[in-house]
Amino acid sequence: MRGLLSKKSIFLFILLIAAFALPNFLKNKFYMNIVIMVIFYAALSGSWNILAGYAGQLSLGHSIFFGLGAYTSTLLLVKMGVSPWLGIIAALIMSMAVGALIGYPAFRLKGPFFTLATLAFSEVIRYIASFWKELTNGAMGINIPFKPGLATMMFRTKEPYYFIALGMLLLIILITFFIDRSKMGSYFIAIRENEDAAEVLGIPITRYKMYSMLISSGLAALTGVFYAQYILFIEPEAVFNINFSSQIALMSIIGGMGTIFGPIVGAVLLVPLNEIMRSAFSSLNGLNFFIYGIVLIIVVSWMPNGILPTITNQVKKRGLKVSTDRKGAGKIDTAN
Amino acid sequence: MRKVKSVLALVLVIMLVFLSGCGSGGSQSASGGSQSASGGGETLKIGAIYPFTGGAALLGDESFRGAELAVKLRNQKGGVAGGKKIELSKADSPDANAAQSQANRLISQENIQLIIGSYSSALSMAASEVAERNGVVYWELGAISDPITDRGYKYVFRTNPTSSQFAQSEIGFIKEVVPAKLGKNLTDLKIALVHEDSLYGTTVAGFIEKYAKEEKLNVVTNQAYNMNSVDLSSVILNLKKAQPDVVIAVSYLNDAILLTRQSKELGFDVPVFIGSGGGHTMTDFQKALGADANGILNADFPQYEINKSFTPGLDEFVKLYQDTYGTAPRSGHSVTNFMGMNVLLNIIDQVGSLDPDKIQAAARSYKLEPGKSETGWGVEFNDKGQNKLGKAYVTQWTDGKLVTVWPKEAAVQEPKLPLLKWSERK
Amino acid sequence: MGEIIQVLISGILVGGIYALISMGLNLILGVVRIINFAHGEFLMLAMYLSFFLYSVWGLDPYVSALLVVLILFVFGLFIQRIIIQPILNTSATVKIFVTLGLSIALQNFALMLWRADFRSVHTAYQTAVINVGTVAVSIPRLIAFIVAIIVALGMYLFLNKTLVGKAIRAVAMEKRAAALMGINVKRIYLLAFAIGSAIVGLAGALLIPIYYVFPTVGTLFVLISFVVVVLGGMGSMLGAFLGGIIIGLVEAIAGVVIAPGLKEAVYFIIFILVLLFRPSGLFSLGKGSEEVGLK
Repeated sequence: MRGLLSKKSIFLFILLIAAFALPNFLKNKFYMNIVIMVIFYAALSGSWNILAGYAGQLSLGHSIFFGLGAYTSTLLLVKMGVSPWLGIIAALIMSMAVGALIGYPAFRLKGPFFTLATLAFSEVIRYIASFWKELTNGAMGINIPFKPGLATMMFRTKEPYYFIALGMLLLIILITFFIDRSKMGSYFIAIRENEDAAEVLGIPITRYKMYSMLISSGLAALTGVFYAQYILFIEPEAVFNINFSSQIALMSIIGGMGTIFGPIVGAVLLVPLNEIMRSAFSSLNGLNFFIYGIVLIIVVSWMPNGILPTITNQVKKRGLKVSTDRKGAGKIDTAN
Repeated sequence: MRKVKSVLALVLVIMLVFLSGCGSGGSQSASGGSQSASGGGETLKIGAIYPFTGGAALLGDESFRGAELAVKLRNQKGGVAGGKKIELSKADSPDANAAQSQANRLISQENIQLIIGSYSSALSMAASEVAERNGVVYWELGAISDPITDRGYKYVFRTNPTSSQFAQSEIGFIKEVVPAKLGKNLTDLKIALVHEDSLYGTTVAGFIEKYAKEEKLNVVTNQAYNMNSVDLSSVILNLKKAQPDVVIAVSYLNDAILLTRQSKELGFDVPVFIGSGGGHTMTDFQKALGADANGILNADFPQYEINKSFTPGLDEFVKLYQDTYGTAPRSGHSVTNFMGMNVLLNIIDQVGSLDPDKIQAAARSYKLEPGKSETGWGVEFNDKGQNKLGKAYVTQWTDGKLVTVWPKEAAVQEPKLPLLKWSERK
Repeated sequence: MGEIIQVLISGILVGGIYALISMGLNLILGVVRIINFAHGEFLMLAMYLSFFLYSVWGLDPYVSALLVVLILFVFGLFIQRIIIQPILNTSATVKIFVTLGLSIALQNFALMLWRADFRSVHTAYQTAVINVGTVAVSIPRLIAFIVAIIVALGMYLFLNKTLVGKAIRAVAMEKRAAALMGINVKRIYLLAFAIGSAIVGLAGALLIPIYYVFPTVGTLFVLISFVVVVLGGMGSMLGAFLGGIIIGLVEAIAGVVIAPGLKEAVYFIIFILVLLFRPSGLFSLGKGSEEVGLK
């Protein structure tokens, strides 16, 4: 625990070096693609985790911010030739502005009602994006012409994408880390655990909910820009998708909501699993997702806190000394 | 108890990872390659990207069946290039993201050099992008969105017609046939467009509107709706107000049935109703509507009541389909994929391997006259890989069957126009 | 003029269908306090049942409705006991994602067993209409509408006049106090969930002559029913009924006045506005939404 030399920080440091060295060993494009998707989802889910895991605002409309980021930078690139690197700034502003607009009214709602409102916002934005053809090209989506180069954030090989995604993820981990250790993080958790009590204690809850929304939506926009440049094709149906939003949430939930590394654990497990499930059991259409659904029910109801807190609890019980990144995450399941 | 359960859940997750690993290993031999054991020759593996789950599963599966049958038939007849068997490796891709990663998987995991697909244009765009960048041939058998082959990629080919070719066929039919049948001038005809607002509907309707304008046709209204709508009464009331002579619809199955039922309920009669493939040509459309489907026209892939001398091999296909799956084909998607797959198999036969460069070179010089394939289409690829000789045929629902009525060389009967009123359809 | 009336009539009739689907969800949400994302799949199963009773035994959907309702009642009991009961004391997150898992599993269960084909029944009255002047009224939709009224009234009487109904309301309002009064809360949850499923079973039986069934049909209806429930006021049967009618009307009018492509967006916007300005719903008694029971 003390300083940089604790066991844990050495472990994390080794992990980081391994992450930077990985492309030198991994030449297979399929695995590379999966690794990039894992990092991408971990980052996106990590951004959701700040709003939902820490501040307890269970949003199922996170794809709004992701999609706005993707659309903002893409439209700037395709229509005005603005580099996506600059587009990131516009995407951040756009996404945070919409986040504030949604959050301002929606934060008055509690529990499931907030969740339903985010679902509705997500649907409204999808319909508008499909309908407003002059701006978004409607359902036909936008095909980004492939012009490789650093300025256009498009590359022939996967390695540059890998490093951009990794940088994004590190940024999100760092921000989460600081939130976790700061007063702001404690306020978030106080709001999550008991909003009324937090208010009585003098925490300006709406303001702090808004902070979490701004950070969360901004970071999601970042991943949106990356996604657009990686896939080179965006359409409303794919980016403003409720199922996609619940996928994002699921990674954090399985990994451990309200923990720094939960989203990463979730993404590491779920992304490859999804990939494998798609090609597995191909003899009977639907069997793969049927199993997926059943496992989802069992895992979520038997392990409501997610994998990371469950493991650390187990380890702790055996009397081993392991520091955790959890702050009251174990209590989520008693909150009603 | 709680603790025990959470440990169990953890074990379950780990087991699942292993289980699906085994599953994916086993699936390759299970799919499509039932005859691969015989012959003793080499097996050539082709990736097949289709949506087998999710909302597009029905037509995705129907499309795949066509390709699967073509392979089965060819393997029964001794394979390609002197006894080599073909095997299809199925890759379920319910959305564009999945298509993208499945294409990556097929190419780098299974070392596949040739991918077919995909029914859905969004999947096709994503998968073909990956194929092109990896120098692997992507052979589209059923998606109709124009941009797939507009990009001018080296390794992307498509045998079926595009949405602009669909739109041209529809406008061509209206020009040639409708004025005489209704006794009106072409430019006096009031044409209404109604389409679902996702990629498919928007693209086809966009081309129809464009060509209609070029021909100076009078488009009186253009109604877009969401395909997941469960009530289309407002669309129909808007149409009713416009009093069109011709309605052109671009719909999926769900909305096509709803549109027809609600038109009847609300008493919206129109002299000419043309669907643009999609839902309007599915057997399930007819099953749901019964006699009410009668008279509805369609511009789509070839159907099964067609001039058989123009489509050699079609009867054989229908019989094979019936024997294999126990039902008649559910739409023209299967035969369209079957025809395209046969063209591809012929090319593989010539080349003798799946080498992408040889295949793409052979494809560019491959030629087939119209009237010599199961769909009647000829084959000649333009420099962007699009087959120039594919076209949509106009068919009409007649007593539960889609009968080809246009163009003349494929037709088996005259179109019956104007349509009967709802109350008179039996 | 006839046109305006036609728009209104069509809207109201669709609203009846929405109401029917939503009333079951309303009971589940109001009493068991669970957002059941698998509600659409319950509807799908009911429609398949209805379809198979028709195609195998030739039973008219209106005749077999009773059987479908019974089966769905038992199915509801089963799901509540096996899946929902163990997670009752967990967070909202767990509840949402468990029902989401159930939804995925049921959808793909249907895909495995019955493939993706669209199934529909054929009855003589299927597209029959009554013409009043220039206005057309679809008979199966009218039947569904009338049944929706009957169900709304029946549920109102059941919840207000019978002992069991009063117990359900008591649990919905304050489950701790109800438990202290000697009400078996778990059993009430079971009952409420089962009745909720039974009502959606009825909705499925009435919908199959109008609509058709395929594995993902539930996804078309599930969001609408959330909207209706919140709009009408959680736990209020009359609210769910009126909420359904309002959404039906809004959709029909927006489709004609604005654009068909935006009609769904319009009701989602109304939904958001209601959430913001009257989160307890239009027809509840104005308490904070989480405290609202069956009034």
